[in-house]
Order: sequence, then structure tokens, then C-alpha cells
Amino acid sequence: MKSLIQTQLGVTQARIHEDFDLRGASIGNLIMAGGYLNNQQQLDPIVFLFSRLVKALGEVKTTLDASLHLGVELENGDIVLGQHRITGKETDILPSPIKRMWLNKGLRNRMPTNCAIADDRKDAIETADLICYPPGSFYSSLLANLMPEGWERRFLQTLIPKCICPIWGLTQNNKVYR
Amino acid sequence: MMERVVRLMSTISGDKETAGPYSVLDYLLLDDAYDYGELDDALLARLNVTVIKTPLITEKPHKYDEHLVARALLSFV
Repeated sequence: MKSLIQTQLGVTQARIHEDFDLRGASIGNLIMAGGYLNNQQQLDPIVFLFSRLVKALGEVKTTLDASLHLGVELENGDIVLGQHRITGKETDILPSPIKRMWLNKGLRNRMPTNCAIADDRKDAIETADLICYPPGSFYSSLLANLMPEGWERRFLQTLIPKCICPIWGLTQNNKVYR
Repeated sequence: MMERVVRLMSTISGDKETAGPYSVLDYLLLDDAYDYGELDDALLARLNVTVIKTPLITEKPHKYDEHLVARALLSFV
């Protein structure tokens, strides 16, 4: 396990610039990035490998294995392309609320595009006992996973119960009244 | 919280009708003692979203206890 993790981190380190600021980076994301770069830029193989290595219960699958960006239109009409420009971590906080979001081809121009989820993902939805929406950032994690084509229709045609356990409200400013 | 619940549901359903027994969100699972801000019970009722409050937070004040969350999720099926 140690060697495998070091190998992926080594790949990431070899591919980033010297001035790449690693402060605040997720070690898990760096490992996955190395695995992605080390597997012909495919995400599914490294997700499968590490889900087995960490002995994750059940199956772990990506929603979509494709190289696309997030694009958003703000309430003030501005267009912002790229997750790193949306989250407010690397750039200033967005000046206006997000109005709509889409998958974009490239970072230079507004080019909405999409891909359909694979058949095994469709099967997983249709045979699930419970659908629990993922935790994480509302736009860049949760809604981003709802962008690919092909599963919203299945969602609307299934009686499987759907739930969400949101982390949106979990902030240091809130209190537990227990 | 409410804005995001509505945004989530509208993103999935889009312009499509979700008539009949189908839904895009049935349950909102929350810690029973955490202050999430104001919940609009009337709106949630109109959206057919059931709020379930149960202990989900133990030692860390702003993180869910994974065992409690897993137990709560398994109780749905």
C-alpha cells in the first residue's frame, strides 16, 4: 500500500511545476491525480484499484470518466469556466450567485457539451435499494455529478427512495444544541 | 438549506413532470440537535420531502459520525 501510494504521488510530483502551491491540497486528490496520469489519463482504473486497496465496502465508480470542465452562468450574466475559478479557493469569491451550470469543453470558450453515463452506472441506479445524494460542495461536487446525461430520466422513473444527508449547513459558526 | 434543496430537485427534474409516485428527493436526513438554519416545513411538505432528525454528530461538532450515518441510511431499506 505504502509503495503504491508513493508511486502515484511521485507521478504527480514529476508532473507539476516547481512553483505549484501544494498547501491545502487533498492528499487523496494528489494520489488520484498521479494514478490518473499514470493510467493514460483514465480515472476509472485508479478508482477501482484504490477502492480495493482501502477495502471500501461495496463498489466505487465514477459518474463519468471524461475530461470536461464546469461552466457556470451567474445571476449578473457573467460566464465563469473551470471549477478552480468557481469555488472561491484559488480566485476571488464569485460576485454573483450561480444561475445555471453545465459541462464545458475546454476553458477558453463557452462550449456546453455532455457525455452519457455508462450502462453499468445506469444498471446500478435501477437496481439500488436506496439512492443517497453525495456529500461535498453543492455545485462542484453534488450538482456536478448530476450533469452527465442519461440518469436523470432513470431517476424520474424509479420508486427507489432518495435521500440526502447535507453537509451544506455544517460550519464552524453553527452550534449543536445537545 | 432550503434554497439548495429546491435547486437540487429542480436540477434533476428540470422541466419534466414528476407526477405519480415518482420523486427526486424523499428524505432529508439531519442531525437532531444541529442548527442548520431555518427549515420551511410547509415547503418541504409541498415538495413531499420528509425530514428525519436523528443523532448523526457525536465527538466532532461539525462532522457527521460515519457509523451513525451508515446506520441511518440502512434504516431506509
